[in-house]
Amino acid sequence: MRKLLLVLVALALVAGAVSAQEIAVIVKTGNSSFWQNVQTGCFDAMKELKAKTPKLSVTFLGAQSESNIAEEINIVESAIDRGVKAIVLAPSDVTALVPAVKKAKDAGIPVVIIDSLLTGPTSNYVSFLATDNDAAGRACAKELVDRVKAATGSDDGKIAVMSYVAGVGSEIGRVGGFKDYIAKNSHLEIVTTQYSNADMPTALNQTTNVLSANPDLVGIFGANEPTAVGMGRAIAQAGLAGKIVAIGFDGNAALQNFIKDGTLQAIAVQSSYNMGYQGVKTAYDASIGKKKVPAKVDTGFIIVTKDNIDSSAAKNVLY
Amino acid sequence: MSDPQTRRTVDHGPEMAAATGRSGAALDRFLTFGAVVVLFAVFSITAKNFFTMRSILSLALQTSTTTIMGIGVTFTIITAGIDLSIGSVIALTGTVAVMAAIAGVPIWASMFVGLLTGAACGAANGLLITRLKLPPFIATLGMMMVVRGVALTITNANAKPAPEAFGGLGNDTLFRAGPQFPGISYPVLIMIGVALVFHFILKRTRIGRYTYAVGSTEEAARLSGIKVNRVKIINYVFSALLAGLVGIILASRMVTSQPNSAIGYELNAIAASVIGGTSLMGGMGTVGGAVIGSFIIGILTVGLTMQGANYFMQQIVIGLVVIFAVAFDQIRSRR
Amino acid sequence: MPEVILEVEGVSKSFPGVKALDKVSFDLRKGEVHALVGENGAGKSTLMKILSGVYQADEGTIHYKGKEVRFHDSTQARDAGIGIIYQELNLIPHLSVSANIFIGREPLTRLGTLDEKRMNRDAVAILDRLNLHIDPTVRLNRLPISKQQMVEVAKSLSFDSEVLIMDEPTSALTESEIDELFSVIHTLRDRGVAIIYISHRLEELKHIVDRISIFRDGRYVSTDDYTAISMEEIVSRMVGRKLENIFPVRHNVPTPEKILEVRGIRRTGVLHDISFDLYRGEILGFAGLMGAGRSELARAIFGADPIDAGEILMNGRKVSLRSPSESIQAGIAYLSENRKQEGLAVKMQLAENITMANVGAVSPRLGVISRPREMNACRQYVEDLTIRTPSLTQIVNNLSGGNQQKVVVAKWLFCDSKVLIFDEPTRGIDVGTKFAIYELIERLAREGVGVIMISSELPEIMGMTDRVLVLHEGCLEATLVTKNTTQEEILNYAAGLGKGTQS
Repeated sequence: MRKLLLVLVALALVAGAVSAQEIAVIVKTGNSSFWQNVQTGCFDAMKELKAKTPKLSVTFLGAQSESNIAEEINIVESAIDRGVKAIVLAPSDVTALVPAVKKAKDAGIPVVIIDSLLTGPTSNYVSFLATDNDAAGRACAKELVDRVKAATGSDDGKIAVMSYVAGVGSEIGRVGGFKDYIAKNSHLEIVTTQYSNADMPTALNQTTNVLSANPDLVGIFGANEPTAVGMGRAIAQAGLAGKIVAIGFDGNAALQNFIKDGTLQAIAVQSSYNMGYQGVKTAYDASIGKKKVPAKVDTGFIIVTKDNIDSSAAKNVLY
Repeated sequence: MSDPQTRRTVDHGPEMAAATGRSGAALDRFLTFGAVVVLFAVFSITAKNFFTMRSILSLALQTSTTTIMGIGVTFTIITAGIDLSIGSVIALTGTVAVMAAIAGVPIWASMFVGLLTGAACGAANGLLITRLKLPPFIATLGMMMVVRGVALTITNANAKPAPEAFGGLGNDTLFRAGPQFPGISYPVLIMIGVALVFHFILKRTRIGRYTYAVGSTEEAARLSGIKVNRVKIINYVFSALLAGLVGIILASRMVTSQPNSAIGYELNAIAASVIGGTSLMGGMGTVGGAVIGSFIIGILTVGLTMQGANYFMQQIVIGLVVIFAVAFDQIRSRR
Repeated sequence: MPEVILEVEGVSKSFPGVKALDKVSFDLRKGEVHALVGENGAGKSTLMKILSGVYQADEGTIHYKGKEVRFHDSTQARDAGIGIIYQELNLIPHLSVSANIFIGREPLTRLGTLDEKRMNRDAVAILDRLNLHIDPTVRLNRLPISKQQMVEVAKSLSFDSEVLIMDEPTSALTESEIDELFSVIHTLRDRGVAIIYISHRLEELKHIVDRISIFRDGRYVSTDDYTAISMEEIVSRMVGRKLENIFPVRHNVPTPEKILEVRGIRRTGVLHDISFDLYRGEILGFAGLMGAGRSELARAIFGADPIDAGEILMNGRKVSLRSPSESIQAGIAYLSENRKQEGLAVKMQLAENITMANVGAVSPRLGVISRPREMNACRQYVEDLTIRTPSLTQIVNNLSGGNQQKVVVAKWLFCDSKVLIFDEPTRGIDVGTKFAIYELIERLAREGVGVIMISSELPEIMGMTDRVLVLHEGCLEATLVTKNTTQEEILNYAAGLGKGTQS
């Protein structure tokens, strides 16, 4: 027993010494280029801030997969336990992370939420930085409706939604906004909503099946990066590239290629870099006791199409 | 010796065999195959466009990967083991093959490198199980995490687009004949080849015979002079090799490697194998069963999607099928 | 005349295709030990399962303590006071003794937690009634098998059983443990408990049995006072014919040609420097008490267990003892007493089992098995050894014990084995089939094989072997020529008493 205690004390000391100036960035998963781009933003912010606080460090952590919520909770709790200065968190579930965030607040650790919504009292965290997913979803829907109209001359017809993980905050905002816009501003009918669990081959298979079940489909929306890639691949394989209106989300190299070759007509690209960069800066401000940090920051997105893909505005957000 | 009376004791042939013994499994197979036909018929009627050549070929393509994985894991399950590392091995082999191709290695050679990576993972599983005497569940669970971590590390978690030519294996077809018959995809042909070869290995070769023997009664196999450890290692190599093949097929279909893809695929493979009559207690299972099991899952997934069924309902239905398929088997074998 | 506690009249029971019991009658008196004997399939187990409520009779009546009863499940029978102890223990190895005794009806404290104190106290009280001193808190699998069996008896007794059925209780016990069990049985009998005792070991009955009932083919044959019937009579009633000889006439002649030489085999703590020779055509017995190292010696010769020193020679050539596969190639075969775990792949076909140790012989090219060759080879053995099976593809688990034993023999003959080591070849095999196994062993020796036969049954050693090695605690105590020795002499050596004391 005493031995255990000694070990714990020693661990706490070591951890304390190392992480006295640590800002922990905890995202849904470390495993995609979207989050890698967030990471780049974080580390750039760190480099700037080191001028003021040389001992500052930024750690970047994430779960195995986006649907592994329990693992993310554990990562947050261990950050609290080792007494980090601030936490930047992209919650993978709208409610499940609330207690962990509350715990951080009680421990005096300021939390900045990025990317996805978190329920519960907003006083639990100091700031919320995200793409306005609702607005982005609506923008995608508008793009889709406009293009269907331009192609067919009417806003009738069937469309499908290829979503990723049911019920995460960003998905509720993004797909919710998309569907709401479609219902209010067109006569398009959503025939199905599929969830790929952010797995590329699954999205490919699901899209293939939706396309063959509905040969009269006029439009389709792929709501995150791996899903949009799988969707694009399925459209190309079915020989439907350019024949139906396809809108994607996020902007890695594969998606950019789909825009260029006309498989996808538009992608909504979030400024993930900005999310990381501003997230760390806001967290730093809060940790040194700055009173006034903005409660809500829209980190922005832009719609990238064949026409503007080479513009500097697009280049800034693509990765 | 040639006394006619003693001869009669052996020569009852198939009609006696039908009453007992392994031909009971043949009956099972017949019933599960019947289930495939019934499912297929139901979706042909209820789901629009399901019964078209295009959809059927697409179904075969989508199911090919589960089938190949299912055949591999069946071998390990017959030896009373399990392989949980399949999903991670798929991600790693696809990643390695694509990276090699990007680095300029010829496409065929980069795919071969991927297969070797898979085989190496299998050998590692086998050695952990036979040398360190780890239970297969633990050894392959650990390897599941290790292999996934390696895949993420070497790619820095980025999906990597492959050279266009890498997509040939997954996207090209044979016997293309106009829009009505888009041709048979290579992965489907690979699946058929794998099924035939591994059926032959399991039923007609020594290593197949030893696989059953080890799973049936390990100590009896050892005391019969069978090199049990070697048999196990070979089985884990088979499983990982086939997972590697799936990794390459998927990377080729995507023309991309995604190091965080295929999470949880091993469970689909195990489900397919078990639906097809493989016993988790070891000693029982067939390649044909794994194929049928995969197609039951595949037809349900594709059919329900095409029917426009709610996505959440699909999960419930497939889960229930796994439960009832095995329950049915249990009830039958108890009688 | 003591009071009859249980009376069975005209009970029948059928299963699909078999009439397991045909109008059987039988009575049990208070305070007696009543043996029930018969070959496998005679209906003993079925009757016991009816008495203990596992099965229900198709017809006939059962009177228990003067009232007609019909138990619908084993709980009812147990609560009425009829307990049964199966051959395989029904205990949980990882729980304590007291937890095992009270499993399913644990006393609780007011808080709803387990009342360990009371369980332990009550367990001690029950064990005391059996004159047993076992710590109730010790984990069951820390106890030797015999003590575990006593725990099973205690558990049964804790239900206030008035009738206790014991099915082959001694099959896993050593001599001294058997004595212990018998003294417990005596204690119970003196307390008025009626005991039904089922055993294949006819020898041991004389120590405890008051009356004996004989069953054959699902029918009741007779009941006698044990003292009024001879062993020969019992056996002939069991098999339904007169068994002229329990053992076959032996024609095998040991040749002077050494086939196997064992030199200084040592395994620390188990085997101490054992050497002996085996001759072509000889049947050599290994005698000794349980734990004397007989099976261990056999396994060492076969390469199944590692050894610390020693070597063996087959036909003068040294054999590596690294693994069974090398010994098999040299022509040595080991037929484990544990057929189902170590001898057969029970889920596989008969033919697959026969070729298992030598699949190479039927896979001419690239490891591909030729099914026609395999079938031809196996058909020959099935005929030759008269294995009774509906087909060559029969799953071995569905064969009878005797036929399974023959399949194991066929497996080794198919390897062209020159030395066959039989470990308890007749255990669990009924009287009629035993003879066939003995005949087979004799024939093998006659055809020039060297046979080693491990047996715990001295009559078997006396009747079947040419010479006998007696082991005691891992040491070779004596090598005796069978026809010049006696059971007593063997027993003395086996007990470590040397030649024995002259009394």
